[in-house]
Amino acid sequence: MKLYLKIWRQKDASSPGKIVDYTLDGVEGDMSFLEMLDILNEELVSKGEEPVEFDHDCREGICGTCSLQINGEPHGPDRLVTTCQLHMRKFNDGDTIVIEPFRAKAFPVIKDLIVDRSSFERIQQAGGYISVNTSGNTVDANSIPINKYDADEAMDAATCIGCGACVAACKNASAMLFTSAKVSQFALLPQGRIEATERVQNMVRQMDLEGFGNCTNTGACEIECPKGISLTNIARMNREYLSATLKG
Amino acid sequence: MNLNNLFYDVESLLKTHPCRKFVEKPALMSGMIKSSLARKVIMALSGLFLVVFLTQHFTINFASVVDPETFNSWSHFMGYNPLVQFVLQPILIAGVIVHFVMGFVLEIQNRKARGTAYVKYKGSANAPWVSRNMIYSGLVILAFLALHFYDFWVHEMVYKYIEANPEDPTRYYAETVEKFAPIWRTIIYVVAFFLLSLHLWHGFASSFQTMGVNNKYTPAIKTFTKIFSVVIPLGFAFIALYHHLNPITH
Repeated sequence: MKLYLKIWRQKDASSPGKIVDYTLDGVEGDMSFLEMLDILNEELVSKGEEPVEFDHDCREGICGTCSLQINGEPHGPDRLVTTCQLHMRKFNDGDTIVIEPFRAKAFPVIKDLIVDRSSFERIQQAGGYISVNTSGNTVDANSIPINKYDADEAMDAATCIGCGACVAACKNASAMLFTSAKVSQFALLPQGRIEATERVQNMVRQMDLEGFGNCTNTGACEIECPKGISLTNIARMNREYLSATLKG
Repeated sequence: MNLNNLFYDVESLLKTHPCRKFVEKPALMSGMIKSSLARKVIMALSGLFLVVFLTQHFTINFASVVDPETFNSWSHFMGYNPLVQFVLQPILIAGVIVHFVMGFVLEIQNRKARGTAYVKYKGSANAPWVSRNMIYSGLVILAFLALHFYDFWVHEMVYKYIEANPEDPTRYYAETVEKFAPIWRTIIYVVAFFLLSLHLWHGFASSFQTMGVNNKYTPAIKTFTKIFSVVIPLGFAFIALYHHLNPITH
């Protein structure tokens, strides 16, 4: 199929960017979206032009590295998949595809389609961990019985790959879904309860410091999340935060 | 070879290391007011308070189409009871102000958080229109409130405290019906009630999510929200139209 691509090109963080038009022929339905961009880049390189820079790593939908706002939606029109798992069969011959970086003040563009998502790492560092002794006498995690329901819910929250699609989809560029998933994966387990009060306060504080917007419960994040992280996590984080604040 | 590069920069590591939380404890109150979550809770609580007020307001107004005498006696009670006038009324006005001022503060913050705008943003793909446009339905309701306050509240204040008229427990029904004689005012009220319906459609259930309630009762809360956000504004619109179509003939 033949595609008309409108791609955001930006030299570096300080330069202004713009949309550049490309026409790409010979795209097959079995290609992934990133393979389609690989072919475009090969063409650009063979013409002596600079290739389009984009983030990617595992290409198996589990690392959270790939991003891209495709036709106005993070990770494109398909549901529960990352851009690397999005296939070109979701598009038709002659389609125009607008490809932009994830947009948020807290996700500054580094180059072209690559954004700096280290704000997520700083939120994680503010409390997304448990303090355990790892100096030779580590306690087996399975020595504490946990009911299946809680363990499953914690695991569901822990499947967040931190790609940032929630921020990109949210009209307010809010990071509540990400932060709440990271809060929930610990809050649901006994090992995580010990530092629960400080964790939620520190992570929310860091989230605010990074300049993310506020949640208005539109639910866009949940729909666009490639891992299907649920809004119930945000409600849990709100509960955790309220009880942490009341405890003082 | 610079050996320093082989080791972590200990000072910068300490700045980001988890243990710093024991050193710099956030000031609770200032942290609460600046916190995005606290601001959302303020929006939710003031919103829920206004929902309760709407229910009470509707109940009294509906009496005007059922029995004018009941409407007069309830209105007179609300107008002259000191608890209602000097405690509940200021709380209500404060609730309205907190809700819209905080709404503006959050909206400005949210717009700043995007930074560069998308060339293409498909909001309709993942969120309903009402949830994405609360600021606009809210602005229309706020503009309506200005007219509504002028029509009834300012009128009452002038009548009672400036002109210092004597108490007249029978005047309310006639005054209300008279207000809806002009078609333009009736239309403005009906349009505002439609926007109120849209605002409630998202806002009511949303406030529960903000308060941390998302459990087995959520489907029931959402259903109740839909019923409430249609029935109450439709009822208000019915009252306005009823009085417009049934003027008092002298």
